Parts: sequence; C-alpha cells; structure tokens
Amino acid sequence: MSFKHILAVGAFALVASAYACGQATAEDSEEAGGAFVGFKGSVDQAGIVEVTTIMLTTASNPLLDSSLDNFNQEDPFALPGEFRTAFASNLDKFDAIDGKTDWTPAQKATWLKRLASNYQVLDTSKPCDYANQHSYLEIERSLLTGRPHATCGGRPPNEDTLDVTFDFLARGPAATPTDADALGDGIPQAAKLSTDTFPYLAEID
Amino acid sequence: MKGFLRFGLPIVAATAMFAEAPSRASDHSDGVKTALDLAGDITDLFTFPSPKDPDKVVMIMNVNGFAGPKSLFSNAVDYKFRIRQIKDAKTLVPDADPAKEQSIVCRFTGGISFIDAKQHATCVLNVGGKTQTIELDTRGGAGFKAGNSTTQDGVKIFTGVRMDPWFADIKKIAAFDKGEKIDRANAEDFLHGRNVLSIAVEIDKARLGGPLLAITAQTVRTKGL
Repeated sequence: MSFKHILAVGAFALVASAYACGQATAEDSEEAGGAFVGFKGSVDQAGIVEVTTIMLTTASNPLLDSSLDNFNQEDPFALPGEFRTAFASNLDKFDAIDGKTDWTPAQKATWLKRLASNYQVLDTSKPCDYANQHSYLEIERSLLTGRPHATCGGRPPNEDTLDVTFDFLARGPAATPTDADALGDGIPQAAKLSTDTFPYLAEID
Repeated sequence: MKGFLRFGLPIVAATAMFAEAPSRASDHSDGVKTALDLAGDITDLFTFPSPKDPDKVVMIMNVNGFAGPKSLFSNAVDYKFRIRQIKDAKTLVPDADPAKEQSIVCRFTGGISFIDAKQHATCVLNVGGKTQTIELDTRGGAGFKAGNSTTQDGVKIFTGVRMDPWFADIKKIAAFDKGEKIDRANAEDFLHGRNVLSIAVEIDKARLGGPLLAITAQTVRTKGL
C-alpha cells in the first residue's frame, strides 16, 4: 500500500464520516469551478462492468485494495500484466461457485487476454433490440463458444449486466441469465427505466 | 463539531472502512481515490445503437454517483470517450496504434458563483479524420430539469444530471466476491433514487469506422496534487 493510497484512505474516511454524520450533503459534491483538489492524472476508466469490484479485487473490502486505484490510473488500452494473476485466481474462484468447472483452459486464456484492455465491443453492423436488451458481452461469449455473434454487443442502459456478469463468471461463457439455473441479485431493472429518446437516461425526480 | 471529531469521526471512519462497502457496484467508487474524487469517478459507460436511428451510435459516460440537482462537472478533469478499431473479430484486439485512436473529450469552465454562474462544456471530437468542437451550457435546456443538449452537424450532446440507471443489490455482489452462490431472494436496490452527472453523445456510425469498435471511457484530472 503506497503513501498516496494511505493518504487517500484517510481522506476518504473523513469525507465518509462527514456524510454519515450529516455534516455534508450531496450538494457538497458540487465542484465549483474545480475547487476540490484530487490527485493529478488519470482518475478512472470504465469499460467492462464490474472489472474492478468483482473481477480484480482480492480484498474483503475494495476500499482497502490499492490495486483498484492502480488499475484505474492505467491506460485502458494498455493495461500492464500485473493484474493478470488476480484476474485468473478470481475467475477460478467464481467458476467453482456452482460446484462445476465451466471454463475450459482455452476459454480462460482467451478471456484473460481480453482483460489486457478495458473496453466495450460494439458492432455497428449488427442489430440490437432496445426494447429487449440482451447484447452485453454477447460478442465475447460468442467468440469464447465458437459461434458467430448475432447482436451489436456494447451495453444498453436497461440491460441487467450484473446478472450477465454473475452467470458469465460462475457458469461459463455459454451461460445466460435466462437459463433455469441462472444466478442473479434479484433486482431485474431500475426503478425508473431509461427511455428511447435522447439522452436516453431518465430525468431526475 | 468537537464532539463529532472526538467520537463520531473514529466510529464512522471505521464503519466506512470495514462495513460492507457501497463501492461494490458497477464502476461506482471502485477504489479510494475515485470514492474521494467524485467528479472524476466514472460510475458507468453505455454504448449502443440509437433506438430511433440504427445509423447512429450512442455513448454515455456517467460520473459522480452522489450527484444532486446542482452538482457540477469538474473544471479540472478531462472526460474522454476513446475509440479504436477492431480489425479481427476472432481476437477482438483493438488497434494498438495510439495515433489511429479517435476521441471525444469534454472539458468544463464556469460554474462559479457571482463570477460565471453557468457551467459551460466544450467537447472536442476527433473522429473520422476531422476535428469538431461543440459548445453548450450544462443547464438551461428546454424540457430538462438539470441539463442541456445541443445538435451540431449531426452530432447530439447532452450534459447534466440524470437518474443513475445502474441497479444492484450490493450485498449479493459482496457475497459473490467471497465465492458464495447467490440467489434472487430478499433483494434490495442500493442505488434506488440516486443521480449521476451524465455526458451523452450521439453520432453517425459512418464517422466512427468499424463496424467493430472498442470503446472506453476515462477521466483525467489535469490539475491536482
């Protein structure tokens, strides 16, 4: 754990304390003209859902896992190999959840190569059903199971990508959240769905 | 306040550190630095064809999972969509040449009381071999409670506050992280009612190349410690 990480943990504890004790509110998260000072450089990156908080972390509490901060500060198109061991050991752990080995060594190797960069794959030549969203990781799962993909992939805003992630990791690349033995967190959709009109995300209440 | 510092702070700090972390959700506060630097904390990235026009691609980056109606983007953070071509569907490996990368980078100014109350966005698109700059205010759009959008040369951009579209039971994520089998019973959506700051871009797919694209989102703080 680096000095910067310890400093950040301390600062976070202060902020969290202020929120929890009512000394601060959500309105304090306004950043008037950049008045809040954070750490210079890359703050965060996002592509694959839960790539850090499920696939990478090895700590009981992600806030104590400095590898997440290290990951977030890397170039998403050029991640160093230092994260591969954690990705591999976590995949083994998740694959054992249902008591079966669902991932072949070849599939595992292909997926770990995919995790060398953090992005979403979008195929603009394939259709996507916005009213019935089932395209997240479909391109990757097709590659891993040796069939041509049929959807645009990407990530539409109403899809239950957490359930896709659970089933992908624990039940293998062929699994889907609609299987009879699928895993899930029990929350199938947001309380207010995203719309089909730009900018698509729902208006605040 | 003294009482808070003496008794509340240690208790709550310990709670924040060791209780079930609210950071276990999609990309929300996934690390200490992002939990602290909310304006740069990407909560989600969405990429999909427009449901109204399949010839358009939509990219949405959400930040600040604790946003309120008046929250602002940081004037010291670059908000980037980065796009690379994927030539081989059998590997899904993006082009390794950074020079061929396309990008949409949004920066913000203003939002300072009594000086320049409105916050302004400037988004620079480097796509399809052309550079295009689009400017808009982050508030004041007709029909938006806390946002604004503009359309220029076929590109739509929105900046402002939206409901957080992510939904999850974080206790189930924590159990899964431990290698436990989860089920759908007794679910609770931790993120119900939360808001985010959102940047949405809609652009002709022909400008992006493809058809296979690798798209990522990144926030970079240009001023700081």
